[in-house]
Amino acid sequence: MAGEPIWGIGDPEDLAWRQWDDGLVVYDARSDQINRFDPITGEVFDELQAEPRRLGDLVPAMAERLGVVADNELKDLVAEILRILCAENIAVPVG
Amino acid sequence: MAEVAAPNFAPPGRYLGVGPFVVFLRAELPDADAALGALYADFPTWPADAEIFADFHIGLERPHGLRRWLRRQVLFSYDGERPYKPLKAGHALLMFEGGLNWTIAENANFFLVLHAASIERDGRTAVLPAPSGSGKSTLCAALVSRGWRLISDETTLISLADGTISAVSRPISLKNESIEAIRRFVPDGVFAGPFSGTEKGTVAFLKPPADSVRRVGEPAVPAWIVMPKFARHAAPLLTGRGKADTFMAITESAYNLDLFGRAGFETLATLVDRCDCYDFVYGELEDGVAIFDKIAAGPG
Repeated sequence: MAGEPIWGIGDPEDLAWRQWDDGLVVYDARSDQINRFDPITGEVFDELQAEPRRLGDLVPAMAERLGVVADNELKDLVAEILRILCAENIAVPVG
Repeated sequence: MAEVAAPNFAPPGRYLGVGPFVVFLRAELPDADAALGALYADFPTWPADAEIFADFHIGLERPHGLRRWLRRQVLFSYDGERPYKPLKAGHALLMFEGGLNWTIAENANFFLVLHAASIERDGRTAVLPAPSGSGKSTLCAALVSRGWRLISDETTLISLADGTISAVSRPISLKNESIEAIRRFVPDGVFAGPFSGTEKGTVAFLKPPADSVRRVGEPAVPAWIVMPKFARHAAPLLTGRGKADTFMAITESAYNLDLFGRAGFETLATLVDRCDCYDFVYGELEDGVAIFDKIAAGPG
């Protein structure tokens, strides 16, 4: 896992959010845009907001949170969610 | 102190208290003046020479020039600007109501302004954001005739400081079939119109309950967000609605969210946080009132 980036949530000064049962909404002050994400993306956001993590650490944490097996399917899903959050500058490499 | 006599907005005009706003209104057309006098009979007004600050100066004017000899028309003016094309003189009230909606939506920027009706009962308020044609105003008119307090039929004003709603109780705009439905439902209601051949079909206005006008200074605490939809002959159906879905839907109803950045997001998100959220399909007004009364009777 060494060499993998550590992912976290962007500067709290730039972002405001609410997580509800049916999804996550994030306001980004840099773009003045509001984005809505599905509940699983909200769970990933929540994990990263609690503690920056590498993908390799995030997958088992998500497996525990969702009550599923930490397999390659979950890894692909989490990687895709990270890609989406990165594209919106919500998840950023922090180390 | 405000006068209680029937208001008369004929020149030189008169100040009119509408919720948190004072409007100086000058109506050059006698028909409009009479209709305004009937609908706004319970509102505070002050004579033109009173020393009062007006938030908005509005005129219902006769156009100048040769055209005025061809047909009687009315122009809406706001602080000297004339944002609309003239309408026929018989539609002056319609022009005032639509123009005041526009004026509030454009200028009330110390509130987050939603295109939504709001009604209150026992200290808790239901916000009804919905597009035109959803049956929002019809349901609102039915509910305020059965004991709910009218906060607003058209523009819900949310405080950025504490999330409460400032009442701006005004005449309720009814369209097409809903006019007759509310005439039957509220037989003792005071109506102005109908005005036919408008962009929205036939329009009429229902005078707001005097109690709602009297209590306009009492802020309202939001408790529910209900997205109503009228479907002819449908059985009433109230279903829970996700908050993220509701939040995104309500952003579409916000006139000025983009002015406030993060504060606007927080105000809207806090509104959704504190409210139970529902979709509501109804086909009969009696059913609508019964369901809302049941919601209001639930735990706070």
